[in-house]
Amino acid sequence: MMHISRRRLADYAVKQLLEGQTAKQISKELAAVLIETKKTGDAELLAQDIAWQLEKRGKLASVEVTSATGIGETLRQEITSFIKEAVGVKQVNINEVTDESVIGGVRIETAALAWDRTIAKQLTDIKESF
Amino acid sequence: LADARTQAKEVIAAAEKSGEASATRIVAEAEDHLSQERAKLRSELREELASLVVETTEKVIRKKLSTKEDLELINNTVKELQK
Repeated sequence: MMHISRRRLADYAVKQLLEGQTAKQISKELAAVLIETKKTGDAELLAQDIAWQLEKRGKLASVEVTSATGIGETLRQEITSFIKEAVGVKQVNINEVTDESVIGGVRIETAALAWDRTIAKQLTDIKESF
Repeated sequence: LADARTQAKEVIAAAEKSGEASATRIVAEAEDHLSQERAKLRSELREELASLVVETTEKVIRKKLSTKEDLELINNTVKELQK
């Protein structure tokens, strides 16, 4: 059985995406390779590698936005324009997560960068500074 | 007899000297131990105080922060990040 590194697989997937192949087609191919090489456990890491490469190439940033109560459409647009500017990407895909443990504020994470401005983080910082 | 007395005095003097040295060492060790305990206690107290302050602050914020205020906070944060 031939060994294909996760990085090479991610490179291949990004190349195919940029050449216009659909995400569904590529996902099928990648799933087949992962099953064949008995590495289905790497699926999540492979997805992260692909997201990282797309971000690095300035194509797409997959962003996770975590808040205690959720963000509205206006904030979603604000965050999208901030990410386009800060990361230097053409497209932004926001995945919104509601998590009460953050108390308030927002945490914005891309494949390569993160901004944690939650109240929970600030309280942790205060506790650690004592 | 005189020699025996002299020897006895010497033995007593040596014992006293050794006793003093032991006492000094014991006191020094006790002081050192106490100092370490004090520092440990101070550190534990500081940590407990920090936890208490943070827990209380968290409770107050959870109680007082409305959804509207949280959205304002997020909005201000994003504006700050954009600068």
